[in-house]
Amino acid sequence: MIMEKITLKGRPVVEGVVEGEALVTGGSVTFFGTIDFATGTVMAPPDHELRGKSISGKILVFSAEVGSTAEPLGYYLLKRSGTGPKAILCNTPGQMPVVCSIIGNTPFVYDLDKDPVHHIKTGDHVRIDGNKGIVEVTRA
Amino acid sequence: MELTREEKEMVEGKFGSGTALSMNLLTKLADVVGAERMIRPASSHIVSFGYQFYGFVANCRDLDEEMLDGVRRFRVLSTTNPKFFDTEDEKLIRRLGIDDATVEQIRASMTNNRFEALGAIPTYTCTPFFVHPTRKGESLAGAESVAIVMYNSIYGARVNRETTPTALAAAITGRTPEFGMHKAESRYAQLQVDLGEDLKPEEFTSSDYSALGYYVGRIAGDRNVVFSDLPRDMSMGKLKNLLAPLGVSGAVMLAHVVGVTPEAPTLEAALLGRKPEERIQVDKGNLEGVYQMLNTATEDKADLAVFGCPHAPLDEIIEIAELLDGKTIRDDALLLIATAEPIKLLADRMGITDAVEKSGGLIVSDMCPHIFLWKQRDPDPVADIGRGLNTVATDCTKCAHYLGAQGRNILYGSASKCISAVM
Repeated sequence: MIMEKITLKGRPVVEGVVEGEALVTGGSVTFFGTIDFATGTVMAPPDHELRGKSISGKILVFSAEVGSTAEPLGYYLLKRSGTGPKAILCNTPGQMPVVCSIIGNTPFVYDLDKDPVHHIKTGDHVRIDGNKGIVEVTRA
Repeated sequence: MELTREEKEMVEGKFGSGTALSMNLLTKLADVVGAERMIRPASSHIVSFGYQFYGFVANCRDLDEEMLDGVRRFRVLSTTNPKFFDTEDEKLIRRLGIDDATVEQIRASMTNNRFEALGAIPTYTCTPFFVHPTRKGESLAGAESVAIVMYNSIYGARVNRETTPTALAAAITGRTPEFGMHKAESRYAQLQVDLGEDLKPEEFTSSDYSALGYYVGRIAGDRNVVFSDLPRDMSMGKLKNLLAPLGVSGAVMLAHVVGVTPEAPTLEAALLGRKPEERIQVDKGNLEGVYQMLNTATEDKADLAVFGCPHAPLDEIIEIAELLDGKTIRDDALLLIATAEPIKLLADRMGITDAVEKSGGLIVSDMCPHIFLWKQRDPDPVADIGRGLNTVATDCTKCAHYLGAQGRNILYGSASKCISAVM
């Protein structure tokens, strides 16, 4: 079996190393009000591609954030409830993913040289190195 | 990035660990977004982490406590977002049938008193701009998506799409990083929105405006918007209903309305002389799509009608009161109009509150309707507050969006349709 490996480089923001399975959406994510804190399941909007799926324990890769400015609170609560993602990747400028990762203390790399939504697929193994600013993607 | 001596002292812990934590958060963010300095915002709109989520209070209170450690006074005037509900509102408590012990428990769980002790203005509204005005060009800090888009768009003030922790950090440190909306050159429209010929905005109800904002927000993402051809005599209530959903389905900070908002006397001014990145036309079918998507109720009867999400200004309350005139709400149903307390006081004085109550409805202040009706999965007493309120009628997409997400059946429609649903 040939393993494909891709490396994305960016700026380290939150230190630490984490690895896990990717869950990717080209859609937007709101960590407050649309995800069930108890299970990590996406509940809305009705036509969201992740609706009914759990983000719990995943490396969640998304294209944009929308909605409530209480998202870092939602992210923090998900983490404290043990139902949140292991870490997030989102390359869209804006402070939400940055502040979520700082407050939730999950490794974060920003300003990646390749758009993670297009270069990572659901099921890929992702390793985020928040010390060096590197994201390694392994595809079986 | 350049920090002043006082800012450095905040980082180093001279003013306590909470101020240091807050300043570190802001400087880290400033570094990521490339801000060169901190500015002093005129105010910050803050959201308490604690009171709303009874079941999660123990968890989220920790973060508040950490940030407020050693803080004796907020460094800027700070307005506050809604509470769970007004625990002094006996009429509401009676109508909901909440027992005294539960009310006491909720009272004890609220963390808002902590903010008031530090000098916060107890506005308890998502529409602080209706009670704490600003001016064109004034830089602000704060969270709450509605407040951000309204302050930027309607008043021409400057505020970024901040988060609850950075808004609190701004209140504590009196600083916010200078980038994005604070800079005049970032305030041009990127997405131009034109209306199709089959739409007649002069006949729009509030729910039509709210659907338009919700539809555009999904396309806009985080881009600035300009509406090129809306009526110039739009009321404040309709403007609020149009703009608020841009921060629900999208992450919009600024939406110009040509001929209405201060930075858009003309389309060219809103675009700062550029060409729009994208231009879309919204047709009747697009708005019908929003109605279809948000409507999950299978019948025309609702247990609760909610208005004022975000909080209603006086003109909107008057319109709803006029629609209610001579009608009676079913005994087993509820009708709530949420607003800010100073506006409710005016409604009281004008006899509107009495008229609404005569029909069986209530005007409530301090409450966030969709957080109030949050379906808790924890076995705690607050989970029962919304029992029996399975189907909710509303003319606000924000309310429909969040309550729908929590599994309530939604009847999304005009104010008159919502009123009929609880008669």
